[in-house]
Amino acid sequence: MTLSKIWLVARREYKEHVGKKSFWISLILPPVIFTVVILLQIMSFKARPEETRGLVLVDNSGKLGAEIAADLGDDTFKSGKNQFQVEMRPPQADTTALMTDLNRRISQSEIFGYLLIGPNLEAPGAYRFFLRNIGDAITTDKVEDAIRRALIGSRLADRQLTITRADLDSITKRAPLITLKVDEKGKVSRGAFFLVYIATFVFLMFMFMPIIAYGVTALRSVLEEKSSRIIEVLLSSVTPFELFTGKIGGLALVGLTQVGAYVVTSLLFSGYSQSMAPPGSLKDIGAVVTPTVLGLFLIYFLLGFLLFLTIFTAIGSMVNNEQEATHMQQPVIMMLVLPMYATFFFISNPDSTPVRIFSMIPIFSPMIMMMRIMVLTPPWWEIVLSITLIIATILGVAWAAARIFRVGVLMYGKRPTLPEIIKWVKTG
Amino acid sequence: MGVPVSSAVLVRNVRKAYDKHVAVEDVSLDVPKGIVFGLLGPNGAGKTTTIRMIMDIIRPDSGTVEIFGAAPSSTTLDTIGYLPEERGLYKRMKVLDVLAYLGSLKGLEAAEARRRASTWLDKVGLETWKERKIEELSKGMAQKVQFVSTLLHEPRLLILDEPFSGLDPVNANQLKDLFLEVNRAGATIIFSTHMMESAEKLCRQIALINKGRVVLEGSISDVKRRYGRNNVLLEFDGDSGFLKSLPEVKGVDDYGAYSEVMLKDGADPQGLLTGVASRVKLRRFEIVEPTLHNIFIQVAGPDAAEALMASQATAEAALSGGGAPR
Repeated sequence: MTLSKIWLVARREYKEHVGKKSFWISLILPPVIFTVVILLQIMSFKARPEETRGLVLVDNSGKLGAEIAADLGDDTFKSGKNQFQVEMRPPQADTTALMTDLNRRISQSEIFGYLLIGPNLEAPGAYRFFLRNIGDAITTDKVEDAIRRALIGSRLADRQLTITRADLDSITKRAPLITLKVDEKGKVSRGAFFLVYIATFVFLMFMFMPIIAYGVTALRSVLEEKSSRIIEVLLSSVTPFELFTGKIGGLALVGLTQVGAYVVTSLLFSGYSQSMAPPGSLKDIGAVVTPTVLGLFLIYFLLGFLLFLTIFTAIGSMVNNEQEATHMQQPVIMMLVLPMYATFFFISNPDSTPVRIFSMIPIFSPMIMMMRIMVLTPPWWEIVLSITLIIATILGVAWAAARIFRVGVLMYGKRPTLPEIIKWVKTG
Repeated sequence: MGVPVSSAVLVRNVRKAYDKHVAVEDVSLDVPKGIVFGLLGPNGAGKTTTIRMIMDIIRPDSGTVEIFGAAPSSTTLDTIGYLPEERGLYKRMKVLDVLAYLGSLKGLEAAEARRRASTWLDKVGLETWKERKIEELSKGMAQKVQFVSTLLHEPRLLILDEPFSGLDPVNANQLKDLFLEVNRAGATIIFSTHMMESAEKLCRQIALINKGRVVLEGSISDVKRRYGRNNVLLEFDGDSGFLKSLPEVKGVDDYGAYSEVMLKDGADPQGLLTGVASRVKLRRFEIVEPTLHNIFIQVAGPDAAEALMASQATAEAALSGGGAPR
């Protein structure tokens, strides 16, 4: 075995993939899409068009209408322009004709929507808001708030309690709950569950996507060398082990180049998005994603990446065509997807026995350990043990895979059965 | 120890079995340095498996291989140029890049590999194709590039497995000249084929393999001497059916324009001449050396004859159909 030959194989593999247009597309496109999506969300939040929305209010109870109309009518944009233009209608016994007319006005964009309040305020379905754009969360929130305030006032009045509007507002003000994370050293930091969840998910995606993409690439690359019959030409100069190792090394470098580029883009971008984001949403990211967490992520990512790359390369040497490849890669992809599906369970029960056991199984380990680390940092010995187990597995799998590769690459014809594969590993 | 090695390749009693069948039963070969050595036999006889064991691509179940006196290793690989029967190149790479890569895998400096590749491409008439992609080349051109790739590192041993399969006669001839030139420059060549005629013209020494065993070996002249001058070419007008009934005759190959008669051991050609001349008007009567083809059939039996015919048919179908050989 010579390192220089492994290096030559790796370099060719690297050049071939980095030289492809598809590499540059996959390098540039995801961050661009990601950026655009986030920017659009921030923009749409910030730049809500300052146009007055016409609302019709039909209050058949006769108790809330005036209050709601006043509430919404007071609401103005920053510029001082009214947010709503409210049109009150008297209570009606039969609303069918009125609704037909109002529906027509909505469809013709004469009004934004109408709120229909039933005669009995405590009955289910008493409050109905008809509008064209139900995605306008800000408007529906405002309407809901106005109803809630008016309803509280009305319920108080029913109990002969009188209260000023200002008192009502201060009494019903929400308690802003802050979640604080206590880590294994007893250090307290701010960490909203939502933020942890999002960050975990992003980390898992950063693991999952490159593993899938480069796993499949590795498989195809071997399959292509097999079907173009170049394998035996190569084996006249390099040993199967050199070829196998070089291939994985080269592809790992391609993967790292891509992930590295993502990391740089997200770092550049995160500065900007933090300055743009609404207060409290992304500002605490530093408390959730500490340098330790980032370091552990890189370790688990690298190990998981190598483990799956090795498995996929071995599969590539066993199959003869795309159909067989799809068939044989299926179980491996399932193994990858499983932790993703169970994210919520793992995050909610980070130190339960089943989760701890699962996080020690090398094929699941990188993803599940990452989830555990994000929510409730596991004891260090568990982290060290899991890393040791993954490294041992990579070496074992590489050893077996190189043997499978040695026999598999020269086998054309039928797909090997499991007993045959075991025999290949034994005889090598 | 201290004795100069005279063999380029020494194979001792190798055996290789797969799941159900034995590919190579007990093969021993001694390929002297500097010659063109023919490894002959029908498809499936065990030629490719033997070569793969020489190349250390597969390991024998038992037996040993020596290349210039050493066990196969990365170092011995660098002294060998190998053109496998199953061959291909990276389709989307440029001709010169592929050659530079394959040359550097054999231990050449990248720049040197490019320089040599360029010289060779000029030599085989592909000077204008250096920067083109492999997929743009015709089959014959790709084959030449493939052949060049085995020569860049100036191998001491060149192993060619069915080098002419799928090639038209013009290209085949050009490649043949090239590798004879390499041989004259000192390289040992092992040439594996099922085509007895071409082997007969090119090889000094041969080993005939059938069903995983060497059934015949030695220099071509030795082999022919051993199998004697017991064939006669006959050309005459009329039906050849009577030939089989003559007492001297062991077998007849009727080629239409002429017939080749194999004589029984110890039979006198003179007797045959009298027998034939008394029945038909003879135009030609010539005592000839048997062809390798005939010797092979004599040694290996009628099954081998059929296997050989089948190999021939596959090769021809591949050539005319333009499809990849199996």
